[in-house]
Order: sequence, then C-alpha cells, then structure tokens
Amino acid sequence: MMKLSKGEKAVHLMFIISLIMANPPILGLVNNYAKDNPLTFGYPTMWVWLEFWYAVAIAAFLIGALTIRNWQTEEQDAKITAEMQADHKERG
Amino acid sequence: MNVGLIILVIYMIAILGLAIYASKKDKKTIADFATADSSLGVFVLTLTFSATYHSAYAFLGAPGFVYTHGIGWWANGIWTVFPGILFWLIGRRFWLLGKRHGYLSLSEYMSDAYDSNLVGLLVTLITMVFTVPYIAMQAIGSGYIFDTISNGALSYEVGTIIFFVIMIALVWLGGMKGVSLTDAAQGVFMWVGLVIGSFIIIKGNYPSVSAAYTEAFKVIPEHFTLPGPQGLITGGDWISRWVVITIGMMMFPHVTLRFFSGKSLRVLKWSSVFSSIYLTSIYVFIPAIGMAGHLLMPGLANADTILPELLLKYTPMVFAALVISGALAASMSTGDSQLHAVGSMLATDVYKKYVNKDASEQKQYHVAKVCILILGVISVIVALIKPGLLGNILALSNGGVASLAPAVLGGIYYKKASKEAAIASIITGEVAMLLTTFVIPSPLGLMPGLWGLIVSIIVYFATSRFTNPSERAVELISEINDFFYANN
Repeated sequence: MMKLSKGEKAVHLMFIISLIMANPPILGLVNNYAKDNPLTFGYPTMWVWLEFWYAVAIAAFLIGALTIRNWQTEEQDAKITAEMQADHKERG
Repeated sequence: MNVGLIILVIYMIAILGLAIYASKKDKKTIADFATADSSLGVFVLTLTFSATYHSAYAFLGAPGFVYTHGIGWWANGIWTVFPGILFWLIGRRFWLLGKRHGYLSLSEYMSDAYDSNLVGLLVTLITMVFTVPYIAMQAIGSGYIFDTISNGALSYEVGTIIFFVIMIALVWLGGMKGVSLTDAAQGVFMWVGLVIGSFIIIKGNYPSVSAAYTEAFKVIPEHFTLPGPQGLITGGDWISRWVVITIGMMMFPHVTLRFFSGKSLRVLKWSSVFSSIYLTSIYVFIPAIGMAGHLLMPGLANADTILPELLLKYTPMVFAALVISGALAASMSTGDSQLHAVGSMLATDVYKKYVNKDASEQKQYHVAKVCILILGVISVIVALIKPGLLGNILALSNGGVASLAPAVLGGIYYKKASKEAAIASIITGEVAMLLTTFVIPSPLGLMPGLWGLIVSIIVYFATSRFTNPSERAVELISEINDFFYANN
C-alpha cells in the first residue's frame, strides 16, 4: 500500500503551497499590489514574488531528495541490480 | 565573409562529431537505440531531459512572449520547476516497471497495464500527431535563426531544410546515446547562451539589470502586470497554460522515454533535482531581455527574434554567433529527441505489434530509422507553412497530449484503473480539446488543452466506477508500492 511518510507529506505540502501562491487568486492580489508598486528591489514585483515561490519548491525538492527515507536510493538500486543479475543468470 | 555562418557551420560539425562518436557504441538493437539500454548517468540525463523539452522556445519563444505580453510569461516558471519534480515522483515508478518488465515506451507499458493493445495504439497515435507541430516549432525557430545570423543570405526555408538534414543525421547516427550526448553538449550551450548572453546585452546598455527594468517601466508599464499589454494573460490563461504544458509535457514520448533511460534510481533522482535548478536558472534574465528589447529594438516585426537580434547588435560577432548556435542547439536537441522517441515508438508499438510480430531487435531498429525520416519530412512541411507565435504552438501541442494523463497516471496509482476508463477518457478528452480549438470558443477563457484534460479526468474516474479494474494494473501498482513503500 502507498503510505506516504511524514517527510513526503511535508514536501508535497510545500509543493502545493508554492503552486497556490503562484496562481490566482493569490496571484491576483499580488498583481493588484504590483500595479502601484511595479518594482521591488529594482525587479518586477510579480517576478520577485513568483521567483521566491519557485525557489521554495526547489528547496523543498532538494531537502526531500537529501532526507526523505523513502527517496534514498542505495537499497532500492541494490535490490534491482540483484534482481537483474539473478534474471541474467537464469537466462544463461 | 559571414563570420556568424562560419561559426554556425563549425558548431554543427562539432555536434555531428559527437553523434559519430556515439554511433561507434551503437549496438544496433531497438533497446539500445530507444533507451541507451538504461545507461545514462546524472550529468547526461539531467541535460538531455532539460534540453529536450526546453527548445527553440527557450531562446526565441520566451523572450518573444515577454516582448509581446509582458511578465505574465513567467507562468513558465511552473513548468521549469514542476516537471523535474514529476520526473522523479512518477518517473521512478516507470523506471522500476521498465527494469522489471522491459518496457521501451509508454505505449508498451499502457498496453500491458490495461491489457489492451487499443490503449497503447491510442497513446502512440496521439503522441505522434501532436509531436509533429512540436518538431515543426523547432524547425521554425531554426529557420529564423539561420535567416537572422546570415543577414538573410540563408532564407527561412533553406534554414528549415538544413535543420531537418542535420536533425535526421543526429538521430540516425547515434540513437538515444547520440541524442543524449548532443543534448548534454547543447544543454551547456543553452545555459551559457541564455544566461551569459542575456547578461552581456543588458550590462552593455544599462548599468545594471534593475536599471534596465526601471527604464523599461517608463515606456511599457503595462508589461509589468497582468493581463499584459494585449490583455492575454487572464487568470484562466495563466492556469491553463501551465497546467497544460506541465502535464502535457510529461506525456510526450521524448520525455517519457527518459523515464526508462537512467542507469539507476539515484541517477533519476538527482537528474530530476538538477533539472529543476538548471531550467529555472536559464530564464533568470529573460524578462529583462523581453522588456529592454522594447527600448533597444522597438516595433520588431517578429518578436520571436528579439534575442538573436539583440545579440547580433550588442555583442561581439563571434560571441553572438556562438550563442545563436546555442539557440539552434536548443531546437535540435528537442527536435531530434522527439523524432527519435516517436520513431522508436512506432517501431515497437505499431510495427512489431501489428505488422511483423516476429520482428527482430535489428529489424525494429531499422524501421525506427525509416519512421524518423518520414516524420521529419512531415514536420518540415508544417514548418514551411509557418503557423503562429512559438509560444502558442507550444500550448497547442501540449494540449493535445494532456488528455492522456489520467489514463497514464491512473495505471500507476489508481487500483480501479480499467481499460474502458482509459479508452473513454482519452477519446473524450481529445474530442473536447479539438471542439474547443476549432469549433466553439473555449469557455471561461481556459485553453482548449485544459478542457480536454478536465473532461478526460471526469470521464476516467466516472467510467472506472462502473467497470472492472484491470487486474494487471492492480498487480503493477502493488508491485510499485511494495518496492517503494514497504518500509513506511
């Protein structure tokens, strides 16, 4: 059965939050703000907002890749390699 | 003497040299041709995945879209980050099944999971039909590039045909190994071209990137907010665009073939992470180029040529030519990957299944090559007709395959997945997409591809409630869950 670990749930949640922040209606609120404040730190306000949330998604992905147990591949790769070798031997 | 053309020729020779090198390791089997026998490492898989689906659009369509429609283009960011995430989350499931059951294509897997050759055939035909405009988009981009860099000495039409010849040569010479190696080289070029080339243009004209934005805002303030100067980027357009392209992209054979090509799960994981980072980084200066382009080259007839035009005007010719070669590289890396993937699919999923059931690996290999040639010719013919802005072709093309998503993903996640649900969802999704493209105005400002996806999702789940699940799909899903989640 597919049972997500706490770490996976947390990372998936960050992905969802990033998507919510980068889409209407939240994006519409940011757009309204940007009409009066088109530049933030010298860059388009909309771009800064979006870039931040894309970075959050990437950071969550990276952290997940490093820490989520189910995403650690050494054992999984070893298992598949052993299966392939056994299969290869069987076929001669 | 046209220095730009000379550099372009040298670049093409170098890329063909790489493909020849790859051809020396060609085993002349369909497994090696299609997936490099699952031997790709992190560096190559990262760049072949990234460069494959970011194409002429990256160099031409993206800055052109900003030039025309403003910051609303950066919905694009979602389909730079999330395909990498999906490449891992769903790709690892396909990778496992590919290792255990020998699938060489998505269609092969679909036919097995749903115990239905019709499902596999539908996937093959639909992806083939909608890959043609995508390949044509690369040819169009290349035609523009040759025209621009040669100052019109090489016409758009001649450039398109040269692109076709080189693309066919790349795929024929090396199969997946050749395609992925040249993708890797071209991926490096893409990054250098887009990031460093853009930065040089901006810094050559303004004290800083933010100064460029400040100046641009004085002239084109409507580019800084939605819906943009032409009112295109409404909420519905924003959502449609990224959903259709993100989901649709994952259904294209040139992407799905890469699920099966990594050497290990470790390679797949890190390729996924690095591709999200790589792709988001290549676009960092594109909004500035699109917007500053209005000040530096106002009233450009073809917005898609803004970046090469700026490079030729504001950077040394040698550098500009190298970067523009990178743009050509982007087109070719996508075009050859698409041709390669669809050609391989036609050989394994149509020829072997329906024409010659006893076809050997070598026979399928040769059939794949013939299919590649035919599809290439069709794509170039479409390109010579020159349909629309590159950004819109991208959305149409992805919209066409997005309807496959429920059936594809259902087969690896949903234990009530049934053959009838798959077939019904694919057909009704395509019909909805075509109706809202050609017959009726697409409702609520959503793109036709999104309507196709919505209809296919509803039909898939509704039909699965009343039909028997595919036993094979249940088996495969249990296999996946036991492998990845046994210890959770």
